[in-house]
Amino acid sequence: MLIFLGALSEDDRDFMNELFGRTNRLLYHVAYQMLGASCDAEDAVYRTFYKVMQRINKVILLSEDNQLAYCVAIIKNEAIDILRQRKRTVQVEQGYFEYLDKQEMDVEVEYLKMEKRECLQECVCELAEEERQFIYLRFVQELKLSEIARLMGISEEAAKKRHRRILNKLRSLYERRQNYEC
Amino acid sequence: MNANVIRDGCEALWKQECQQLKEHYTDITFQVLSIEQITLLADKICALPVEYQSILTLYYVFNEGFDDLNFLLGIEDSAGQLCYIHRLLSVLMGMKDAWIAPAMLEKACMMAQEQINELTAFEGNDKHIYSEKIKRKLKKINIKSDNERIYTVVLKRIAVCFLLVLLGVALIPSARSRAWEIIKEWMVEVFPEFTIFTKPEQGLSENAVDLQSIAIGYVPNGFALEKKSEDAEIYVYSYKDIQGKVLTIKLVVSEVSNRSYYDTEDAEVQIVDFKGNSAYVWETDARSYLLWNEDGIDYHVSGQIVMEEMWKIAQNIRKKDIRKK
Repeated sequence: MLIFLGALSEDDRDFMNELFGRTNRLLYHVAYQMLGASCDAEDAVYRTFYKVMQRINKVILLSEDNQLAYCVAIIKNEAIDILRQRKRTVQVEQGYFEYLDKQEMDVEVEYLKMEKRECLQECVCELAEEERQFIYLRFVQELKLSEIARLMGISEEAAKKRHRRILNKLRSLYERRQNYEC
Repeated sequence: MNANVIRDGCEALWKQECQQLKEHYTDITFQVLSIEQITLLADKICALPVEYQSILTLYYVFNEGFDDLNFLLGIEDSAGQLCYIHRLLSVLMGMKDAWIAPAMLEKACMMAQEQINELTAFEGNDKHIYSEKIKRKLKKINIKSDNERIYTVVLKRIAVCFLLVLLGVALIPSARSRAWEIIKEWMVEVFPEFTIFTKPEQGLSENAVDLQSIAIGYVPNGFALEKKSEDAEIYVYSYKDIQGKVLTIKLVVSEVSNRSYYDTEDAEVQIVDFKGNSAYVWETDARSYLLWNEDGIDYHVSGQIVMEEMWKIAQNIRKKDIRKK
């Protein structure tokens, strides 16, 4: 890092300072909107400029608008990283709880506590491609059902129904496998 | 619902799928899209998770290679993820076996980028004051976080000269304490680990208000009043949240105490104009602090909260119209 900084010319440093002066308010704002905490948003700004500095030869050639867009793409990702570090467990949104009655949830808890991860994976593989994508968006990318609905071009209610249907299917597949093994 | 089990299982599976898609990327059929479909695809890109948008933007709009994508986005398999996103979008566009032609995807990414730029357009123009910790980190990579335009610096210098002249004029006819009273600034003595704020000697302001007439209109979510002490001339309110973070708001009648000692180690005390008075604000690793005088009352706010919340508290400390007689 120190070697790299030593290699920066005076012009590069001026450019970085000018870029920071021009973009940092927006970048901080974008990060703050996503993170809701000043210290995290500042950290995201720092990490972004650290990375941009190492791609300076590329960034310096972009137009001012594109320099901003480039930085925004990176800071959003940094903010997501920070959010992930902060939140290790998925918070299932309130709307989903409303959708399931308690008994159903208890059954699901049992299923979802299953230790046989491989078995679950095999079940997921048996889902149709669209269903699998839904599960990935929901559990890997941790999208809200409203966000998935927007992406799929369906209503939120339809997304909820689809979610429930896929989870039920997953549960049936899992049960069938368990019975088979028994 | 313990979604962690599903997430863990799916994450590993998703990575495998990314890898497989990358390996079979050459054996696929591409499909050309109409203009309407490209527009629809751009909308879908805008609705993708932020990480996916970043991968697409950096790859298709800024032509970054996979190694650079891995570095910039802190991921390991940008090529595999890009294939996965490509497939996901193809499925979302209703394609069963075919994939969106890369040139079409590139066009859609360009269109989406324009939409994203519009969405992130910044309306506010408030300058953010970075914490000392970040300022130091930025300085290490040669970035000055309080970078200002030259003419701003020149204007500030002119203003400082003007103030110095004003101070000189004030010092000639009267004693030093009188001069402080005129400019209404506190004397700030900075030591390595703490700072002493000494108030100017002031007569009772015409607008002086009673402590009883002050209401605290806002405290951050989660904080509850834990202790309250209301003496004749000093009110102290102590708040705590469930995580044990503390917040203290102290109101002191200006005549009572002239000096306040505060921890300012490794912090830079900033003077900010607030409600027509000078406010002193700083952050240490442990707490944020805000100190100002208004209508005969000193306000001391400190706590384990972010600066935005601190200002919100200050803005919402209200006065009723009860004048001191």
